[in-house]
Amino acid sequence: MTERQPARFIDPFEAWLATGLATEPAPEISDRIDRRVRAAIAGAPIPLAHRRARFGRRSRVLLLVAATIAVMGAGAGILGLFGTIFGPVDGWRTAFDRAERLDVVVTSGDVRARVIRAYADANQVFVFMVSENLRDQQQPTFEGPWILVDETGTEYQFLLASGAPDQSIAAAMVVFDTPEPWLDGSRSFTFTVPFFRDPRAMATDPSPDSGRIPGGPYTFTFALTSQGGRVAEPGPPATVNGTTIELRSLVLSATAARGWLAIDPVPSSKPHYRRVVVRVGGRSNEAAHYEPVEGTTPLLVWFGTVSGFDDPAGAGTVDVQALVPAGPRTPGIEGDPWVLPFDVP
Amino acid sequence: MNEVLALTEERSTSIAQTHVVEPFESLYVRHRTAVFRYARAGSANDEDAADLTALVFERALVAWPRYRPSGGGELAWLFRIARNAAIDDARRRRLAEEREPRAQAGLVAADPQESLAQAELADEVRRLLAVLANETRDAVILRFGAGLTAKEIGAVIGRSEAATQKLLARALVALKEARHD
Repeated sequence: MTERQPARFIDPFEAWLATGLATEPAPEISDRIDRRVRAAIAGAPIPLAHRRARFGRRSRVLLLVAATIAVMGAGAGILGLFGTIFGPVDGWRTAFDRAERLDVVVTSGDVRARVIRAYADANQVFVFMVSENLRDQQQPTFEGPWILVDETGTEYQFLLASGAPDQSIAAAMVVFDTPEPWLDGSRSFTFTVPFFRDPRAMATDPSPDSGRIPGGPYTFTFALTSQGGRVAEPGPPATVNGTTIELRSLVLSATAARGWLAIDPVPSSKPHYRRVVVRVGGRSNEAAHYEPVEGTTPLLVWFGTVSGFDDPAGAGTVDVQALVPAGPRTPGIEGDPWVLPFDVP
Repeated sequence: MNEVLALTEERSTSIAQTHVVEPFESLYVRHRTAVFRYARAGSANDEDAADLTALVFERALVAWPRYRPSGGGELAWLFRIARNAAIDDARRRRLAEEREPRAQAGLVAADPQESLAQAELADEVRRLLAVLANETRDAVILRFGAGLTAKEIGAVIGRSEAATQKLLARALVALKEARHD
């Protein structure tokens, strides 16, 4: 996502004109524009078909979501497709293995969609589904927007999706972030996919409806019991090179660890916080998601791993090993790690 | 790895985000400076240009779900919105100033980040552009300020690529003459 490069002009008069019009907004002017536009994006009334990525109650929308589409050879089994999705990520495989087996089928238009398993713990809700294009045996189906709502009407924050199509069939894993502070007990869920799309069209055409396959919406209802997690008790903050980082909260579950960091003073270069490692019980997992909440003092940063901890107990640490800047030219903060102790009672 | 995977890896973000929030975020990041430059060329100061730039993207966000790639692509689409917003903004400011003339109207705010020489040059170019008719001035700003091609500019102002090239050529002649007067 970079700015379009300016045109170059050889003719001296044209170059003079271009130079005169090449006004760079001053930082405060740029911030003024940014604030308005990003507020508009955050509050945009997105149509139902596009609601999945609406910014939620927490402003830390995960824009750094990693998702892949891998294509298996013809005849690969459904479990093989999911295996492709999980790759080396333990947390995703754990969620699949421990998920409640469901078989909720909805057929509409050209697509038959089936939720085969779902899983919930303190940190996340996973939906595992298979979709099949009934009309075109060569056209894979994959995703539309995904919406998850529980019986209280709470909409869960979409976190990431990963899929593996095989000819006309696609497996998909959709992950949602749970409402704070965590998810416990049993819940009834309504999971909606307004429509499916051909991922090949989506890759070349950015418009919201590209590759749309006739049919939908697809609405699935099911109940899940959260498999819980553990809430850690944070210890004292750590200061390195004049920067103090405090662990504000941490929730550990079988599929992830999620927490908040507070950074003081607020770095001036809008750094992205990379290499945050959670260690407890002889196991360590590195965070894959980071979301700073701009405008907070001290700067609050949400982080999450994609693998979790089974029955964690005792002392642990969150090690912040580097603060890497967003841009290559802005200085980052690196050095001895900030070691933030916590205890899991 | 096949074509689907290769194409998807290029995007390296969620399918979901790529096609919903990401495209607009991406559009904004790619073109905000170009839109600001277009806005700044017709505004009295940086603040007015910033407000107009934000208004353009706010309007574009509302229209984004209906956007379909067509002649001129997303840049032409975006700058059509920008041009309409600029016309509306100019009309509004004119009406406001008729009611209550602003003491600072026409002044160019000093930008602390911009060198004095650059500020003077920008001011000189903006004054020079005032000799052109509105449509021609827009075409010149879109070409030399926002970096659009003649085809893209044509899609913004409703002319063919060839007609736009002629318009730009005539504009350059007029500007050179005006500069030497």
